[in-house]
Amino acid sequence: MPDKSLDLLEQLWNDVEPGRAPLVHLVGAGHAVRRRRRRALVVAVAAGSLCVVSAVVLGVNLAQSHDHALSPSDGTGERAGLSPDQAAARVLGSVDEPAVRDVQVIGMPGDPTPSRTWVRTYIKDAAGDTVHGEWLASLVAGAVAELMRTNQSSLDQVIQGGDFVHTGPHGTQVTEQLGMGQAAQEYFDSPSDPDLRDRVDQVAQHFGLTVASVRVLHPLDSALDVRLVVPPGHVSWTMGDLDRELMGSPVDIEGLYVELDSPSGRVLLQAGYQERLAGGGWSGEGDRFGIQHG
Amino acid sequence: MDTDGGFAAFASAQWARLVRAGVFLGCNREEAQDLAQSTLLRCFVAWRKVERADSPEGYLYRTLLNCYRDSHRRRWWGEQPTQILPETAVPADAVDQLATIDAVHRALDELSQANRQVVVLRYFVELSEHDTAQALGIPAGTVKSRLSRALDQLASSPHLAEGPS
Repeated sequence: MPDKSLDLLEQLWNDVEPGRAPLVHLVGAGHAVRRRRRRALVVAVAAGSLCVVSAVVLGVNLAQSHDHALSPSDGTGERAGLSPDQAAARVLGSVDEPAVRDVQVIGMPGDPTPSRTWVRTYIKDAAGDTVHGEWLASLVAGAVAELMRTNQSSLDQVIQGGDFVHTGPHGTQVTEQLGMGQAAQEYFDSPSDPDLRDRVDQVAQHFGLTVASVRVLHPLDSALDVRLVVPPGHVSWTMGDLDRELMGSPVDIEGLYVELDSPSGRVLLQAGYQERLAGGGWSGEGDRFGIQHG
Repeated sequence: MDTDGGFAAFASAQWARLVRAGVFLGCNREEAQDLAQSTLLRCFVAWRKVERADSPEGYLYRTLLNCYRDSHRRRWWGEQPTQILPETAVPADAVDQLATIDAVHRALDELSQANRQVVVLRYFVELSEHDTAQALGIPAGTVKSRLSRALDQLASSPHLAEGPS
């Protein structure tokens, strides 16, 4: 590499002005996080000291609360992936969303190489609501790829891409592509559905919003589909604030769709997040254990 | 040294490199500062692990990459409403910073994420091969080969041949 190129990059490195480290804030925030963790630990220890019967009941409840998860991996990264058809059928059944009409794993459009695969999701009545449709299709594509994965280190080694088909404004079928990145296998360990609904209620209350509807979808782990009503008046928070609280810290759901409506029912904003796809930049090699959320 | 004192010294020493690494990984300056804060906060909470780690710097930068992935994996569709438009005057030094960061991104955006991470950690942060391998969770041999490929690619980059515009 020419010295000139290196010199230039080094100059740019030095030119980035880092600002000052917010040490007081960091230490204060760090202590607050530790206190919260200690409280959680105390609760866990207290619960653990209860009688065996309680423990058995707790175990049953935990098992029930996670029976929607498809246990895509044993946690070692080594696994036998499902066939494309099996994976598509399983996600179609588990996502429990009528708007997802069909899921197919097909050859990559325009590419004759048979091993290059593509996830196509058919969305019902998505005309005028491509944000929600794209969000659903992204959830589906990520879940299908995760189920097909064997020991690959990133999703883009399993599927080359995806798209979704919906009905356009003139009644014609429209195919729109999804972004696809390098995210690795991920485990979210989502809370139970009632806990997630409680979270939505609490967050809505915190932000002064009214819950219009909540759905918990289960592509693999859980995803929240939430519609909230914003009261008239000044809004002092951002969507970033809202989504951070809804996604959990650390993130424990694989997707979030938020629609904010006016009191009259007009849609003010739609936002979709999903965690399995997109350009995570996960290098993968050597990281056989994936990313543990939750 | 107590936890707060030890952490403060560590954070002060690492701050500038963390922010610059964030920018070189693809963040703007504000995102890179947030990334550095998130990284250091996680390290504070797990300070015993950091202190006992075979390589505290390897641990730090592995945490940085985890935080980076968390923040960049999400995608956003839609609009963010605001009552106050952010149309304030931008100071001259902020303009310089934008130009610098734009030049960094143009130069490095051609690299794959994997190669980019190796270049940033090994070449610019100056982690050892061993620490880079630990931070990335890859064998040391892979660090070498990726670095070599990335530097070759950068050498033929038209952006670097021309210099910053």
